[in-house]
Amino acid sequence: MTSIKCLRFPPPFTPSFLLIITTLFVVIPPLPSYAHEPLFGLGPHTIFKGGLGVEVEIEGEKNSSVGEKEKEYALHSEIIYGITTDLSATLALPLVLDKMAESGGIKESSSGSGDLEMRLKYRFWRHDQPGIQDAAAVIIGTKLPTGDDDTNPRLGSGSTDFTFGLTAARESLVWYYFGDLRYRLNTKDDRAKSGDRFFADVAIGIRPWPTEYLKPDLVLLAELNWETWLRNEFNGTDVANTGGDRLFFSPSFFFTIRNWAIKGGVQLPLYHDLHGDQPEDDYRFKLAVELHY
Amino acid sequence: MAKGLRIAFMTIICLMVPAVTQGQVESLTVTVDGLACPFCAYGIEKKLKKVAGVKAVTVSMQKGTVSLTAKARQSINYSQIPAAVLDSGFTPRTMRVVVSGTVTPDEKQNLHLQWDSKSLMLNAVEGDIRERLLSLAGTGGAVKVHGIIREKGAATWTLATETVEEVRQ
Repeated sequence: MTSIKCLRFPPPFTPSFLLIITTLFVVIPPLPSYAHEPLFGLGPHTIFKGGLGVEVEIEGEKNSSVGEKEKEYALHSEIIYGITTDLSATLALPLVLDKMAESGGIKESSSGSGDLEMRLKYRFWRHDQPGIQDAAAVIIGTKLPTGDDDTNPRLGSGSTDFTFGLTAARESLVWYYFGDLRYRLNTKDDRAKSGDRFFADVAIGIRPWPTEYLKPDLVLLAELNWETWLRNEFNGTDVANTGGDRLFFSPSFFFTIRNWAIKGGVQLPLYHDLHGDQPEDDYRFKLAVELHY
Repeated sequence: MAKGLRIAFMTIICLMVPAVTQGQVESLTVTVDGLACPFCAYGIEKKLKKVAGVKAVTVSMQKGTVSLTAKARQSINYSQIPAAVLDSGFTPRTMRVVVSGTVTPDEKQNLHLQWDSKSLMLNAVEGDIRERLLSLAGTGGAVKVHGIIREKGAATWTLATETVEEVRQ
């Protein structure tokens, strides 16, 4: 499969290079997920004014098709700061533990630092009632090309990319409802441009055992995550085996005690409509520990 | 020598006077809207613990309230509470307090509760409670007032009286 893709490009682009590009383009941008927010989507929560949050997250994904396999495991460290009650800033540094691409019997792997991300979230609307908080927020983020790009597969995208998002939610003592729309605008590397991405997510959550402050608290969430990926471009031309639509079902949990949170979840593919011949998602997962102080 | 002993004796007496006679906001319970998740409530605990005079913060998710108790011989600075709750990302509503002090009427016969150098106008004081407070005002006796505290205009606060206890010294 990869050798066919290779023929679409002139030398010196080897099958290995194409594998790297393909792998790079299926990497999902990490998003800040505050406790009691969707793990794979976006919520309107902002940390309290002057508050500091630290999150360490392990995430992974596996994609495969006949003769092709891609896997990635990464450790994301995030620092969240509450500039005001409604405005928070996040700095995220991913460390790729292992990124592997295998095609046509050729297997390559790499590890190292990924692209640095900075995000601002502004909660522009909030309506509080007894035991209920409704809120809406916008997010703007940028990903800088700081990751290692001299490895095979590459760990950095080599381009400066931007994310814009809009989210709204209702949180209550028992039920949670979230919805968001996001757009990731990717810019051009030297010659290649990853296709822009559009995300739409909805989530519902329940606290099966309403509890009190300082007591262990568990919230279960179910998300539906839609992704539309536009075709990549190379030298201004669309790349054939790129782009498409995906839909995931994502069950997740949040377990918190006071200012500590543990959260985890898995994305399971429900639907794929990918252009051409591409590896399909097998799964993605996240497991994170978050501390606010 | 005799003068020195008198000063020492008076100093000891002053230190022995119960804190209640100096008056203070002993406890405060604020109703908070938007309190939906315990993890998010950490912010409100942290912010309210920084309010002057606060010793302990107790959050009730089910009641939607946050209760504060004062440090020994200190008064909770109630005027800082609304901003602290807002900064933590929630909406403050009713603030119910227990305040001790002495009652003083002004020239218009409005009653004020005084402690240290602070004063609160007592609202909704009628009937028997008013008579009782007026009689205590004449003696300078200390009272403990339970009620709802509200900001009326810039830095002006009033206390809607619900119940009154006479404090025996």
